[in-house]
Amino acid sequence: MTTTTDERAPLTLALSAVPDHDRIRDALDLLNREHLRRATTTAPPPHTT
Amino acid sequence: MPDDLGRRAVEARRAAEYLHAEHQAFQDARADLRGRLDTALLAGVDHGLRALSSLLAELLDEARDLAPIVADLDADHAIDRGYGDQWRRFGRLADRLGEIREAQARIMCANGRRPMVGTLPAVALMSIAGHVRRFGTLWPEWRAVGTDGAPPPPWPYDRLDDHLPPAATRAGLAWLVAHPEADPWIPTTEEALDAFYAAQQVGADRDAASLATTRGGVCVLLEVGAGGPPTRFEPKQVRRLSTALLDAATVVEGAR
Repeated sequence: MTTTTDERAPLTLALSAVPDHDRIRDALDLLNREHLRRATTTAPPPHTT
Repeated sequence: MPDDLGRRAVEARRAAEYLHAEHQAFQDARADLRGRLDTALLAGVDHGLRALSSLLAELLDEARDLAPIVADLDADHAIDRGYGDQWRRFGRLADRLGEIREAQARIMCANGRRPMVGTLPAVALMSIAGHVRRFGTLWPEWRAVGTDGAPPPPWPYDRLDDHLPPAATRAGLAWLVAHPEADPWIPTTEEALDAFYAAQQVGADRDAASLATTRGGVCVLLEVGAGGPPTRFEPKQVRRLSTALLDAATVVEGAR
């Protein structure tokens, strides 16, 4: 009897097989996290003196 | 009034401009990455489908071993006979089949970014040709689905779907492993289109044959000589004609 070797969700696995998909999605996730982080912290005013 | 009010006002305005510019930069970068993601997905649909095809093959292998033991049992009988684990595993495989088919549908339409494949809605192509390769042979009436009197497909199906593919249930999975001639598959886009058009041609041929057999039997029209009028052969003549043609073909083959 064979066993299923990859228990990841089928959609996740299929998207991982698409060239560049995970790399771009990771970059997008990183961007969103950074945007969220900046939005929730007070940005320092630019130095003007 | 504070002495540095003017300076503070300028700083506040610059800070707002800075935040706006930063926000815009994020938005632009996000739009660019989303565009790249769409492009990658559209270009790589078949890679995703092939990955799912491997998953389906593994799943069917496992189901093939379990189906003879538990496919016809309900939970109580399976437990009574000591097959509780196998019964549950078979159910999990049916659930996973559903996940695979759902993923296939989403990949086929590039996660909603490609609603049409040629002139066909991607979702319809998936439902019709994306489940079993031999759907047109096993269910020649597939084009008439939904019309009165049209026979349903031979496999267990979910009525919620207009095109009635095999259901991702225990019964559907049991049917798939019991009917290898159906050839369950996950086609690439091109393969799905080929299968669709081939099945459509089979249907058209059946319609033509059906027309020829109306009003009391088969008739054959042959064009005799170049530009001559067609000659009509009535049913009783057809058998003799067929035999004569076969004989003639045999003679011709033998002479070569």
